[in-house]
Amino acid sequence: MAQDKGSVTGSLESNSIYYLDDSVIGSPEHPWGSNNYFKLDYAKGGFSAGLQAEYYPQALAGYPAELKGAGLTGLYAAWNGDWLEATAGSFFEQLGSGILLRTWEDRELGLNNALMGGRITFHTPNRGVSFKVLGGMPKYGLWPTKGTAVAGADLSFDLLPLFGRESEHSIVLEGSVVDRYTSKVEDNIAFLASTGGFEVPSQVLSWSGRLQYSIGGFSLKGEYVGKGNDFYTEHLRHSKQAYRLKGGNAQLIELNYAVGSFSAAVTLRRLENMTDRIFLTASNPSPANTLNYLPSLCMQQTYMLAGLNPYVTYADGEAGFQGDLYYTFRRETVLGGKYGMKLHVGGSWIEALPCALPDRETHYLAYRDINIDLERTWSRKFKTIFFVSIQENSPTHGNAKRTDAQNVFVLDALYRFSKTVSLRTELQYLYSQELTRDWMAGLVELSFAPHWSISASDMYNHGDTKVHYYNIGAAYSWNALNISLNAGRTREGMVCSGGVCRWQPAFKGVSLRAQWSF
Amino acid sequence: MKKLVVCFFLCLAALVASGQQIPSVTLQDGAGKPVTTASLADGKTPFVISIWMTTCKPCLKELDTLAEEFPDWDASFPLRIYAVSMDDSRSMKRAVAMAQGRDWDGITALFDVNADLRRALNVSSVPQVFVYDKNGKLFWTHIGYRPGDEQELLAQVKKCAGK
Repeated sequence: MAQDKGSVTGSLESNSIYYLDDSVIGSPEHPWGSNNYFKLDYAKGGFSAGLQAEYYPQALAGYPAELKGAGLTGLYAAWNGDWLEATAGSFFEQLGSGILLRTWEDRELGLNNALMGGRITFHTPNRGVSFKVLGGMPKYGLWPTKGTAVAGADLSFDLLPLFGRESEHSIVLEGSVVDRYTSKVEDNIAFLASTGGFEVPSQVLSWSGRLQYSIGGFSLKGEYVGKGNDFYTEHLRHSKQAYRLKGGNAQLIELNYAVGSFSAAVTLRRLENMTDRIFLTASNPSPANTLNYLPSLCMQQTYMLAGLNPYVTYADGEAGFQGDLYYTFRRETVLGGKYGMKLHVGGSWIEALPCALPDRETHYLAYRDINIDLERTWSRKFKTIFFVSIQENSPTHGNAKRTDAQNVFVLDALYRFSKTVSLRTELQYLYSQELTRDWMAGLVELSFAPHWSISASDMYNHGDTKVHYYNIGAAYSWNALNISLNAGRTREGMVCSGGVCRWQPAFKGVSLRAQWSF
Repeated sequence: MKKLVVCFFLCLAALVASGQQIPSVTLQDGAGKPVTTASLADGKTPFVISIWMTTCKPCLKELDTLAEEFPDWDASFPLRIYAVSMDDSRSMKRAVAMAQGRDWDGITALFDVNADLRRALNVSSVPQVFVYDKNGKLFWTHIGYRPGDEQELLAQVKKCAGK
């Protein structure tokens, strides 16, 4: 019998853009940019170890300024046993929904706030009970942050044995506590705190309690988060600011129900002063300077025009809900026809909270939307998606009555010429009387499975600026290798991934992206 | 130094070539109960892991197409497909609802809430499919989805099963 040597896996990724002068956008700040990642892991039985290295000779435009040069951004060794899991080195962690603590990597945002330290989890073999302790320094840019440390503990109890192993009921109780320690505070932050008559605390202690219940197709999750006193900037009228020592809290309820080919999901969430930074600063707006996860409570749009003006969470104070319904009209039914039809209806409504607007007499809508998409398979060769999104976004986060409304309509069609050759087209229209008014967009993508695809798209603002944002591209895949080459003009705006956003400046250029995993 | 680097890469190549066992990671099912990846290898038939996200249109197209292929699948051995969502806590409830509401008959939906499987498999973009043999050794993988890719995937599953 061959001896098990363990297995090695890894990945290489390189994203590079050569920027060009443009008559509309102007000259680029740098002629080129390149983000590069290498990851290597070894695993044998319950043991694993690995590393990650990143190299930014000049980071892509719009990426956080702290990404510069080369760094070893991950290094760990871990053991995973029946009763115990232990990690030494860098690791990612999420407690509950992440409102309390989340460390994660998102290359679209240039974010990697992994903790460099250690984590031990004790659990029963069926994981009905688990207890976790962790501690470390969060990474910011390419290295762990000097002067900030995070420690935490988490306990999870599955109460199923109370109902008997065969019960359909499931109840899980969980609780966590997190302490953020900061050894040094920037002088300007210390000064601002002194104007409010307090000292910036070196420790902020936060906690959460969570409950999960499910029976059959129904599930309910509830979470309460309390945050200790922290430096808080109060935004007053006429762009004035005041500084307070203030705690925070958050509540989250998630409901899911599914039966047959119908399902529904509803989320209610309230946030009050829940921003949690790795370090306090008056000057750095980097999205990577975060220790928790406060995604926007609305659908993440994927069509070009629907995602033009995304909503960004107002962690100082907002409350809202998001709901989604899915239904599949099955084959051989009146509406489903021969191949079936899928319907999705979703919407969200978010209000600013009075606590975030202390000297206002009232508060207003921050964001609302309704989204409908209908997918119909007409034959084995032809499929369409019709999508409508009606959005209303307050540019002041509910500070003033004004909102910007936009209505987006999309027709997405796929035609298969043969088993391997297909053509996909998108026609999009955005109607609005605010901001840059009306837009139209189109996309054509020709695919030759399983290796090649070529595409061309254009997004045109005919309501105001008369600017075209065009792009042509080709992509090649072979097993775990993926290479794409694109050229065109990209609009400035928020790039959002998982509900967290960063600012992307406009550019014209040629981009090359290569990914390989082994 | 050169010898050291060459030696490192030779050892690396030998280990990579030795075949990759599915990493040991705990996922969740739709009710939030733990499911270990090691339990997916049943010692009888190969299985497919399709990594997807609610915001990834090619992922949904691939899973819809695979669900449509089920009625025509060779019944001589079971086709086991696990759709593992990489959605985070923000989209997790949508992923659970979507997996049910899109009527993916025959596909088991699992959820990688803390992205542990994503990191262990080095997935940098989605969709990515993995075909594992009956003992959990990696047989084939592919990044991306173009209409028609499912033919290659199903051919690889049959090849892996020796059909």
